[in-house]
Amino acid sequence: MNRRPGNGNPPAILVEHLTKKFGEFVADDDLNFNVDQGEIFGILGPNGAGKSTLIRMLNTLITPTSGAARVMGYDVVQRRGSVRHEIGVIAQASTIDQDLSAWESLDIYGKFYGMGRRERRQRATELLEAVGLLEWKDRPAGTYSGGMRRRLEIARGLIHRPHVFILDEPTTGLDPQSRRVIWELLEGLRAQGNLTILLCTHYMDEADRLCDRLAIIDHGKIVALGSPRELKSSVPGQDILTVQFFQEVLDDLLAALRGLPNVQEAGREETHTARLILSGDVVPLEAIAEVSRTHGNKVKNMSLQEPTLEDVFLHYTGRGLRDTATQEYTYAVPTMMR
Amino acid sequence: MFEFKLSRMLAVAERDLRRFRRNSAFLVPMVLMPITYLVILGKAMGGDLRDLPVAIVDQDRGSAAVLVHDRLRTLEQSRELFRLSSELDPKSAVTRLRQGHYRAVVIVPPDFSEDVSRGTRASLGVVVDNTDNTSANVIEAELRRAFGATGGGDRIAAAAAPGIQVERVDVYGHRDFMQYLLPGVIALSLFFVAMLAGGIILVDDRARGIHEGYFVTPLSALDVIGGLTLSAVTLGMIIGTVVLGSSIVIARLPLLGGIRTIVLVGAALFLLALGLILFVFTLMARVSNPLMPRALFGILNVVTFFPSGALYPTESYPHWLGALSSLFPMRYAVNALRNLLLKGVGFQAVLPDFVAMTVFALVMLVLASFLFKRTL
Repeated sequence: MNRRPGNGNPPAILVEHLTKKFGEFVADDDLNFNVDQGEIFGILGPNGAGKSTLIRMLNTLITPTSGAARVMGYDVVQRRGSVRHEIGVIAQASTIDQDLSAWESLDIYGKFYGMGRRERRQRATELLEAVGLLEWKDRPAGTYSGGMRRRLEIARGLIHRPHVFILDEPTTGLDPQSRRVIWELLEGLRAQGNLTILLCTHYMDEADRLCDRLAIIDHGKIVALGSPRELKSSVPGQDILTVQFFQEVLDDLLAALRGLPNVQEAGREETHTARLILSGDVVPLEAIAEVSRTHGNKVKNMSLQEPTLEDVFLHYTGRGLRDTATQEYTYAVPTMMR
Repeated sequence: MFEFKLSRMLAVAERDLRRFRRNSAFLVPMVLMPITYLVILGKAMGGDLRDLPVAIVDQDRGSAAVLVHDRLRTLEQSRELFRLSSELDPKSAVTRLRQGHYRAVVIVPPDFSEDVSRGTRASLGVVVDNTDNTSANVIEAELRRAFGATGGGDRIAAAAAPGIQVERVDVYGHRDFMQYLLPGVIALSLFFVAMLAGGIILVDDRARGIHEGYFVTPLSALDVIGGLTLSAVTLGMIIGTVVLGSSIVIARLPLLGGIRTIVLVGAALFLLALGLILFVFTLMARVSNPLMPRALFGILNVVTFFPSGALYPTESYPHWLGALSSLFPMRYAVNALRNLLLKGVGFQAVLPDFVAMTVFALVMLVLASFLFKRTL
């Protein structure tokens, strides 16, 4: 299930039976997948599903409990140093130093990777131009907007020409314009062909647009893996019918709708709206209207749509909320406290 | 603008009180700090001096000299004020005083006993290390009392029968309290740098994700600790130098010892900055709450600075406080800086202090490296 033939090169990321436990809690449970070189691979999952733990094992921040993972052939436990040279990382929360300018940030990170002065200057100029920050390069990052800071992080993560770029929710909290700019940046990087991107995201449109393949993780396990098209076709029923009623949708109406021909599943979307997963080619419009009448309700509106990635996501992960809390407080330190 | 509603005001207060309850651990320093002030400051200031090293040079060896010996021995044993040693000649005794071995040298001159037996004025010389005026004044006063002096405030006081006079000689020029305080002020400035750079900025950077950014690069734990230490020590040296220069001008302190003193003072500043910064790194190695270093600031200041001898001689401390202060490098730095700046001593005189500060820094380096986590 988790392998595909690839492009002939060894996989950029290879994950085998990877497990991480925190005490009794299993954050990631026997994960297996690989990411081909040059591929954009998405990781989707509800909050607390184990995505960030997986990312942090791959970028060497935490040690797996068991199993193995390799990045560009290097074991993430045995060859941490080599892995760190191979990866660029954009963490979920910003790690930008707000006291430094964009130029200073890139220059200092270049030094972390042992790059020479000329190479650093050349690469920083090239990257700042690519992310549209060249004219702001001497301003402290603390004065940047959220989108500018994220673009700076992308530039910083690429300063040493990594082979694998790991991004943990890179567009969360950004406005649509900034998201679009980052998408275009990532598409541009893919077009260059020599960078593998591992993208962890909550946004289905982002995953649909950018990812060649993606894995849906829930309760620490991979519940689905494939291209967006493959995953959409894996959802039972080809179409989804959203039916809006004049009255509240009651349980007995839902039960009756489930009994109709070609209706595979019926659930309440909102108080006045039901969501029907259909199979077959015929939409039972008249039967739905009839059932509604017999249950004292009336159809106000109907819309038919093909499954989206969100449908895929909800199908595999369900609709329950996944509220989690960390063991410790997390703190945000305003600049003025320093 | 002046609209007011009690329920809303109470809601604001409730929010703050709930927050304090959630962070009740931070209430501990608020209670501990004044108590620490009471205990540490109460014992670090104004206590009775003990074990002051005093040398006696007997150039007379007569019966009156034996009397002087006996009275000094009595003081040593009954009140533990002095720790007496014998020296053969005044010159070498004063040299050792200048090197910090003694606080005073009592000189019984030739013909002392004869003068006493004749009933003529017999002078007992007391050469004091007046860089520490508190100790010098106590020694002088005790000698005057021991030999029946009537006091009077003059440096040469008239003695009662049998005609012994205690004559005080300050081995250094005039030294006031501001000059005495100067080494402590410099040490305090480095403590502030250590708390800022080693504590507050370190924990803030951790909370802001700066370290997470570091950890996904090839930087090793030693790279991070070394880099943070280097930057903090550099800042400490800059601040320490500026404070030192300003204090020397304000306190009108002549520079004794020239280039040698400058180099040795620089070395003392470096060792103190290094030790304090690594000490704070060690304490904050796993702290993630930015309030913690701020809450500990006051307590650490009281525990490390006040019992360092910066304000009052360490010889007055009770044993437990002396032991506590000997754990921290402030005491050695204050002693070394005082000897260097106020006496112009050489390397040998400050070597023990330098060794103590070096050992402290090395121990803290090992602890900080051990405790500092390279991973999340």
